[in-house]
Amino acid sequence: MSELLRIEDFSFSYRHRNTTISILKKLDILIFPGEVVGLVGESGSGKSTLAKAILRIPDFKYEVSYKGSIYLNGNDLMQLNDTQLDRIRGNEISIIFQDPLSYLNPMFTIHRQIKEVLKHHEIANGIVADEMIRRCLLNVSFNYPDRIMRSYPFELSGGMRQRIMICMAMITRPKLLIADEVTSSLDALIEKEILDNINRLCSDYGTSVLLISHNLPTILKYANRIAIIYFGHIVEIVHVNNAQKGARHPYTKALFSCALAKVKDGVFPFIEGSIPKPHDVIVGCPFHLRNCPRAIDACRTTLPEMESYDEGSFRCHNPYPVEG
Amino acid sequence: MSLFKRKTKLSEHTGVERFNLKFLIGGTGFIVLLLIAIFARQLAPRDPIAKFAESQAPSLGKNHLYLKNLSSEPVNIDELRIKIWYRGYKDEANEIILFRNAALQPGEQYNQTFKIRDIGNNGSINVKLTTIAGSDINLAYRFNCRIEDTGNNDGLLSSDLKMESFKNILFIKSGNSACEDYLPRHVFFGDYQGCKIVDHLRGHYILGTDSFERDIISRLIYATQPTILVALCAMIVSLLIGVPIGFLSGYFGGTTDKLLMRVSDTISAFPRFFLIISIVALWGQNILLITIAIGITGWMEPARFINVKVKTLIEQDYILSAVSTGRIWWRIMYHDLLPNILPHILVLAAYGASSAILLESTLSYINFGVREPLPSWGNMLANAFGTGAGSTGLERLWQVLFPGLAISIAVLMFNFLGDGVQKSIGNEDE
Amino acid sequence: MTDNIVKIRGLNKTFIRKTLITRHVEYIYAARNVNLDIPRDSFYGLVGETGSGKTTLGKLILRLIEPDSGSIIFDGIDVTRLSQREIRRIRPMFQVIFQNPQSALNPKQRVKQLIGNPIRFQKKLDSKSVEKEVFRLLDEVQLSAEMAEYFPHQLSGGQIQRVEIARALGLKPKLLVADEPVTSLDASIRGHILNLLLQLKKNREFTVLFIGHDLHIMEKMCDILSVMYKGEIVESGSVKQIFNAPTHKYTKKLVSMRYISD
Repeated sequence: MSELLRIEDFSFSYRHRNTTISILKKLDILIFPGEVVGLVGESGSGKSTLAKAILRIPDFKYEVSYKGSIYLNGNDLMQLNDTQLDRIRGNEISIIFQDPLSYLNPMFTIHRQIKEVLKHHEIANGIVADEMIRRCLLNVSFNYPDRIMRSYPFELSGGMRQRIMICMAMITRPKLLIADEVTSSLDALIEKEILDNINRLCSDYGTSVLLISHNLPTILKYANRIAIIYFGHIVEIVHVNNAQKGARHPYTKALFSCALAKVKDGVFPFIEGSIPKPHDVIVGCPFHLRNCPRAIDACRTTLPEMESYDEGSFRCHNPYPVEG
Repeated sequence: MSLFKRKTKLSEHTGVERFNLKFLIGGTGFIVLLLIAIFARQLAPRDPIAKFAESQAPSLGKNHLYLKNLSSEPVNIDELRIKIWYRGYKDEANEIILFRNAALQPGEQYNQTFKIRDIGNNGSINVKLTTIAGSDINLAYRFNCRIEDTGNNDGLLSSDLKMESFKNILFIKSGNSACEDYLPRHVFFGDYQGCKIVDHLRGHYILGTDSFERDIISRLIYATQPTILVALCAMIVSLLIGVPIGFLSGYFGGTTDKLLMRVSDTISAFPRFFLIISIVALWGQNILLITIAIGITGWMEPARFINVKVKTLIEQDYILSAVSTGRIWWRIMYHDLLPNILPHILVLAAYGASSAILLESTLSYINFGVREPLPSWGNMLANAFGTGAGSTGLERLWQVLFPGLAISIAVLMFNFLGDGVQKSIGNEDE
Repeated sequence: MTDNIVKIRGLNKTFIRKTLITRHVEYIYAARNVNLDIPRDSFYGLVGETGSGKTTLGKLILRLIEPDSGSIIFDGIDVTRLSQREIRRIRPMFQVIFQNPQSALNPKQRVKQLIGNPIRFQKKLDSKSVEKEVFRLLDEVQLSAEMAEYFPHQLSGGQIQRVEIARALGLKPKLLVADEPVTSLDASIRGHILNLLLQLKKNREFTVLFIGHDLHIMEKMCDILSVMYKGEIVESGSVKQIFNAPTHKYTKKLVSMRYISD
């Protein structure tokens, strides 16, 4: 099976006061067509940066540099210029962010905002576009699309706005949808509704999803494969069925038990130490500093290479053995 | 890991920068201004009120006049005489012809002595130096000197006091055209209406004199005193009124807030300048009153700002938790709110001071503030357009230039200070 | 009969919001006829989604907000009827831990002031014994003594939450309202705080009102749970009862959404 998106040896860093702070370090991810890949990480691990870096969404504050390549159907996105990339943004790869209100223009109606997307990518215009918008709004479970089309972003609730964002992202029928913490600020019930919407639309359109979240239970419910990111490194990519028992990397194991609050003898699981900051310099495997239970001498000196096995890959010197 | 190391690392990462360039420039400027104001007496080369003529007045008794040809050509002087008027005692004039039809060779010096009589308490002496017949050098006409009681009222003082001023002035006349005036300010422009005047006083009158023959540099230096006084005191007055009002109205909200903010709105509705002039007109014109007037018309802006700031801060969880520990309101204000608002108050203070400087200058310019002959940058500007300010644009510009620059620099310094503090707050918020 | 530290009867609170231009009046029911009994020394959970009024209820119990009607009886005293002066005297009895680490601590105070000031102002101790108490509290929440000199911005999220706990416990409260204390923390740090709360609860005698929305955590932390929906308490009961046999429609939905780990 040929992959849709291949992120290969990808690094991202920015310069801040004459120091280079690298956020993403040599990432390798494959996303196959129609697949939902979950990206889990704690704050500061670089998961949102990856979402923006794939589409090279500019950060005006700092001087950034990219290394490596991202292939979309064999075309290297890093080689494209801004005009060419503009055609891909929102058309072939769409992105949804955590806070929809700051991405919707408060002065435009929902109808105009969505139509703008269609016009920009020269997909449809006029009545055809209107009909497309109406159908798309119905698809994201709005019962009265005409009323929604006339309203302004501030008139809608958080969940409704997020559904508008999904509509805007999916109306172009992209090949890949990047959902960056889409439900972090929403409640469990609304979260379910939104993710169900995304899931249904994407399986209808055959769109792959890169589902980014810090909330592991959510990812476990919706993703096919899970990539765990820690301190800018992908430490493990594992299939969801295998995720809880078959995880090889100690961080993955620890994170799962923390996130699902697997209490042992009345004690909540936790990981020692604090999350490394992006500007920290760590020699060796970054996880050995947090009392990794399987740390060996090699972890303190060298960063392990990515190792693949039949159900996934991991980056560890001394992984847990395969069970059974 | 030591505490210090952690701090530096953090500042690198978050961009917290307490002292930035603007803050340093503004702060240094402010300190320099303050020092100038405090040590004005020591710094100023001469009395800011005394006129050139007075400070250079010929002394009683014997005076010496030296003339020296500094050019490379011989100079013919038709006639040089000194005319002395005695006023008040008995209007009389005494004219001394110093020399006639003389030719001064290059480098040659001519010495002449003349006497000035004492005329008692209530008189003035005018001394006029005349060169060519019919054309006076109007130096003397400005030598309006009051003679102090010397305790010796009868007749001439036969002391060998020297006429200090004349000793210092050496001039050369070339050609026949009249030399009208050779006050130090003209010295700066060198060749003036055909007269080349060499003035040894140049070293003392660094920036020349103004239209009343007062030393510009001394006036500039002394003018920092009212400026700094008004800027600081008015700012303190406005903050002393505005900050508590902002705190109380912001903290308690409701009726207190509405009442206090309506009062501030009402006062803000009047133009500030009008209010100040009304206060000055009502209670008289002195520096203290001007300071208070500027202060009490400037509290509304800080009050409103602090009000909004307090209102946003008391929504913060840490204030709620302070309330929940049972802390009394004034303690919350002092311990929890004030440290967070203090940098904002500093910004307000800096901007308030800069606007107070501008207001004081404007008031002085229209002669409502610091009054003549006391110097202030505002009335120094006004002097540039007064009588005898000089006929050419260059001369007027010369008098506008320095007080104008001083006002701009002072205002800029305070604005820099405010910007600097503002910037460091902004960085912290990041 | 169990001894209840907090007894809430018929509590109502409505917020009125006017829309920006049209001045259309909206009523937000933060608490609608709330009746709640919190038994002494229990770990009481309050579950609900954003806008359900659970944070408002916490603030009402702390009397940081005035209720419209109803009564809150705290340890035999009707808190709603006390004057500001009287309430200030009993405030140390109920303390609060807030959710957001960014705004929970005064950025201009050092940790030792943050923990020490409430003790100093309330108990009127001299500075030496306050300092001693601060170090004891820091030790109790497993922070090193050098942290006393730190400012909040030098602390991580987990450390801030510990300082908050220390600040609250310094006054020896009878009730600790923990308003989503771990929501903004990362999964790997959360366990520290939860364990600390459980441990402190064991060592000291106080009641905890734990407000949260993460059912995975609530299930394991609390003894008794109340579910709040749109300002109303829709269901109350022991944790087992709520999770195994929910009666209300909303509770059923909520419980069914849990991710059940294997």
